[in-house]
Amino acid sequence: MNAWNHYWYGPVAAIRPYLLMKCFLILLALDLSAVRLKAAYWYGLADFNVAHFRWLDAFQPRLSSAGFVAICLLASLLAFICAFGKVNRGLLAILFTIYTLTWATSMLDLFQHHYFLSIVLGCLIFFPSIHAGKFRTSTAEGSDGQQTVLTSAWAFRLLALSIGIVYAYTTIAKLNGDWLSGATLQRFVTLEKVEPIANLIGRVGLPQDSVWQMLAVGTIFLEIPLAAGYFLAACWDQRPTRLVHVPYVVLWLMALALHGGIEIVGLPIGWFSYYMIALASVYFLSPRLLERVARPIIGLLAEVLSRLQQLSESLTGRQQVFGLLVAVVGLIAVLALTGWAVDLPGSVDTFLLLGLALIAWTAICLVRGQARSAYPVILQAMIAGILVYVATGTSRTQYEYYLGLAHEHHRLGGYAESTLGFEKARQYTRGSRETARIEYFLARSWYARGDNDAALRHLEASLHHHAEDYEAIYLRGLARLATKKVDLALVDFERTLQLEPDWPVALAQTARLLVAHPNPQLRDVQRGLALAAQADRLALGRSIDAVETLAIAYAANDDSERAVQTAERAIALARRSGRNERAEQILKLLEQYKRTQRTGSP
Amino acid sequence: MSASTSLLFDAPVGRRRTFVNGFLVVFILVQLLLPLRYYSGAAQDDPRFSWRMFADPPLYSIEVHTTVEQEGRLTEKAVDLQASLPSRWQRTLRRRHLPLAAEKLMRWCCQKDNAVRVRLMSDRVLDQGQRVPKLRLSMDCESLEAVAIGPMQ
Repeated sequence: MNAWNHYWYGPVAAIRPYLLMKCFLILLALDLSAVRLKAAYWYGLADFNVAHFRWLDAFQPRLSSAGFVAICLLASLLAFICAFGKVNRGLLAILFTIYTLTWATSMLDLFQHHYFLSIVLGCLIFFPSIHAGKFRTSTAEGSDGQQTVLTSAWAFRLLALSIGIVYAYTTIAKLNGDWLSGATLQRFVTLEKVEPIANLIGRVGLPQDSVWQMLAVGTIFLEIPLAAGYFLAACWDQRPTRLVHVPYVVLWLMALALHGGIEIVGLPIGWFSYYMIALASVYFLSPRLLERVARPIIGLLAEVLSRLQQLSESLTGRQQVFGLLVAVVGLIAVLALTGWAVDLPGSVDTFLLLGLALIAWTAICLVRGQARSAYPVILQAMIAGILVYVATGTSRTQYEYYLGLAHEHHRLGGYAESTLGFEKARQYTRGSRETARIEYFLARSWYARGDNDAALRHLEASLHHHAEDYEAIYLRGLARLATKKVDLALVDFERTLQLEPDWPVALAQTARLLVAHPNPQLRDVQRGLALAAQADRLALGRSIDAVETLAIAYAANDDSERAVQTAERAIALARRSGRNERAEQILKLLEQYKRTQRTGSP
Repeated sequence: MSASTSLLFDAPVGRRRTFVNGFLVVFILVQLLLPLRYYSGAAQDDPRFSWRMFADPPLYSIEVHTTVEQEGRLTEKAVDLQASLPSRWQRTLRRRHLPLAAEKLMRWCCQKDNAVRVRLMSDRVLDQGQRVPKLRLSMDCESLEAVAIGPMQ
């Protein structure tokens, strides 16, 4: 029992849980605003969703993109507020619940890292409440100016054990032939990312191909000691000798190598590496070093908090009420403005909802005679609002959100929504290439809506920024064809093929036009057949358009037998992919070809 | 405690410590046992909560057919999932064998096509392109209950 008590309740350098709380929450707030929000457009699309748990699926309301934006923004704002202020377990519990909802609410996001972050947040709720001022006072009072402030923090140790369990299981998961041979890694990482290491291996006389195997096995060799290190982390604060420092510094370097390496090779795992490096720093570096590094920030924070406290204490009676009124009006103005500037669906509502909750809380403080405690929280909420706006703006959250949303609506046939999305994304474009692409996307969506004039206007704008964009030229050809400018359309299709000779879509379209050109002098059925055959070959026989065009080209070349066979192939292809209406259309062509085959005349 | 240290907070004592001890045991047990659901094979196609990062999940094919009433006749047609389902969901359904997701997809098809019955077929696609039947479900769109009509592996 003694060992148990010693492990969980023994003293820990207070700087560790203090820094972990601050660093983790700031990282989480930024992650939510700068990364998670970008994918918010997937939520509620086509009204389809599956939650991670059956009970949640039955219980939660219909998910929408605005709803997901709201929970991400709210979690981000709360994380900032918690990071800048005193530990408030109630607020942390709310943050834990809202954050957990961001991943549990839908299987769209299957990254296990989110689940891990929920575990961290769950532990943070029970972290000791440490005030920044404690470090300032203690270091000043210490005889050598280097006093270590200790605390009892079972939740901090529980988190260390949890991280150890995660490392242990990730190691177990890698103990299979596929991983150990390097095959799994090869599927996720491109060779050019590991080229410097491969070259290094080549220089010492080993085959360069062994780089995958070495990296895979090396990962396991880094993860095993890290798991063990976390199981024992923070126990060393009880006897902080120099000898104990060394293995922990080695562990920190191992964590840096593992997670820094993951970032260098570009594995798509969001900000997980940064979280893990921050955690390793807090658990493995010496408390003295942590205090030395964090002292300027902690000092500043303590100074701001004490000044704010002095200011609020200097106000009395009516001044107190008036001061709070000014602060609340300021808060609502800042939150409304930043919510509007964030410019995502539901952002204004979310910011104002938080503002209203804080007003209610301020009123409760006022009634209880604790008006002074409201000032820091109001200030934290204002800073949080501004930081969320800065994080979304600098990471281009809005651009990627609206662009992704517009693309997916376009794919699903929601062309009006896609036009709106592209219009919004255009507000956040940077550089002429990006503008050219957005103009092209807008043209594509107007073309799909049947407004060829609008499409042509956007295409001119696109080609003004990027004259050799083959997709834009091809689309201009289609829009010109739709407006009966057949000769100009052919010029565009030919130009497209000059720029992109192996594009099956353009090959098929040019072939169609060539075999049925209204001008007999420009009609070329033989070249049309050759282009159609090339399109079908390049599309590996999987494109309904290419196969249908080939059937048309055979028919134009009076080869009704092959026209029938190819049309039958197109119908089978359309039916297999569930495109029944398309199959019906081709069926009409097939009947026509069969008639021609029987009678000899079309 | 040495002279150069100061203790901010004491460890919990009495009933509070008993409660914390209980919480610690439950928390650790959940973390140790939850991943075993995947590693023991009980949910071998669902690596969620198992800490299996960078897994290369198997590929599944998904085909859905709806039976709709047209002019008094019942006709069955294939659902064009590529054109109607968001691409990220298509990827999730093809990469994970998740019976709950399959059920939800069938309900969604019931509503979308105003169908009478929905049939779902999911095969595991092997490297060489061969298919191994994995899931065969049928759903009556009135009761919205899925019934297995084939292999459930």
